Amino acid sequence: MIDWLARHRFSVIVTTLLILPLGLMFVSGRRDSATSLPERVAMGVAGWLQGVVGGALGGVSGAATDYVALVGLHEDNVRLRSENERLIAEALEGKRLAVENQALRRLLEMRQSRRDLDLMPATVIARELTPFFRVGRLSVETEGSPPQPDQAVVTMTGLVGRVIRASGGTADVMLLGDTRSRVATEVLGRGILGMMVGSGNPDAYLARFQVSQTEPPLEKGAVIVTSGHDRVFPRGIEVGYVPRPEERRQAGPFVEYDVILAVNPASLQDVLVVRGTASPLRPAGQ
Amino acid sequence: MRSILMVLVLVVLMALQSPIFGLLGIRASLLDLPLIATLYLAGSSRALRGFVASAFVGLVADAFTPGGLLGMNAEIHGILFLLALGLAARFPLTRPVPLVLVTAVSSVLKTLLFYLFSILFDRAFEPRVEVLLWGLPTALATAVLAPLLFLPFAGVDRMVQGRRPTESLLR
Repeated sequence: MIDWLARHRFSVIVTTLLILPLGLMFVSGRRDSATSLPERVAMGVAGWLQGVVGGALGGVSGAATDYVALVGLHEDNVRLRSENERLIAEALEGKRLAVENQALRRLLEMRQSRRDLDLMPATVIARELTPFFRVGRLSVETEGSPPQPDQAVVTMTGLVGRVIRASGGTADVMLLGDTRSRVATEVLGRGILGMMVGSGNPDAYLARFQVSQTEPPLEKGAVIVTSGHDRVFPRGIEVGYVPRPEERRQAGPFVEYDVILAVNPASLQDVLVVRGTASPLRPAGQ
Repeated sequence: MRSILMVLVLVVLMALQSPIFGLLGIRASLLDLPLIATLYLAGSSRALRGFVASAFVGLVADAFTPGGLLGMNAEIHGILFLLALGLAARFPLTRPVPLVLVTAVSSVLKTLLFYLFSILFDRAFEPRVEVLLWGLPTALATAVLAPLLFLPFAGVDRMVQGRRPTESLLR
């Protein structure tokens, strides 16, 4: 038997190794059966090997790719920096235009809402600062007809001041906080008339609202608007509000309240100059 | 020892094949490395050792063929080894042109055997002509590159025995 096997070794092994795979195929082909042990072993070994080789190759490939990516990095950096600066400049310009557009839109809305007023747009060209870095005076420039002294300067949020000097298209504006400033005002909705006097405080945008002693006390947050009695400032423009009515004080025959002004002159870019009224001003309360 | 090294080289090449071709954007099954290994064994080994090694080559191919029938490649490569053994006696596989022709014929035959065994043993197999057509690009690419793909296996021979059975391939 052993001699026979030795003599026919090639045929026996070939036949065995050709029949064995047929059996394996037959078992594997029964798809309804569970995965056999040889299949699990083969899949496990091959999967592990592919994972190891794939991971190693991926690392080498990643390093090579990263190295190749460094070629021309300096030029890319210079180009990207330049592009970044250009884009930042464009973004800032866009933001500036958006703010300007918003301010102009508000002015336009005011012109449309106050058709009784003849309003002329003006641009703030200079600000005079107090020692406490508060704006004490403005210079504005108009296009078209030149501004005149004692014309009111307003914005959408309220009253700014009045023109005190004008030369050509340029004018100096006295703000409400100036000690020389006087504005005929009233308490909105209460019909209490009074006078807004500049506080002269170089450290705050404040004014004093003077009313008769016979008037009832004001409540906190009372809004002060122009009354139009001085024929300089048109009626109904907001001037400010009373933050602390309990701190009122007597000033001669009047009672004074501190008023925080509605307009912060430090943030102004564009204003409107009131050239006149389309209809006669009506006294407050009528 | 030599046959084991041949199988190991094949394992490494097959493990490398998929990620390398993936990086290059080439379909991983474009080259039939187990067939190359079998043909090399047929052209350079004794009959019995070569046949056993070819059966192991087929098993390796089965392991790297997800979803295939275990044993199918072992069977196919055993048959192809016997065929190549006969051809190698007439055509020297150390020459590029005979090698390319034998590889092309073997690759087509392998596709036909795969189709046949799938019909016989795989109940989930759907016999379609496309299955046969898909084998043509692989046969073409493997045949054309066969002289180059022989080199890693020839390197094993050079390392183990100092033999150079493929030294005339690139002349």
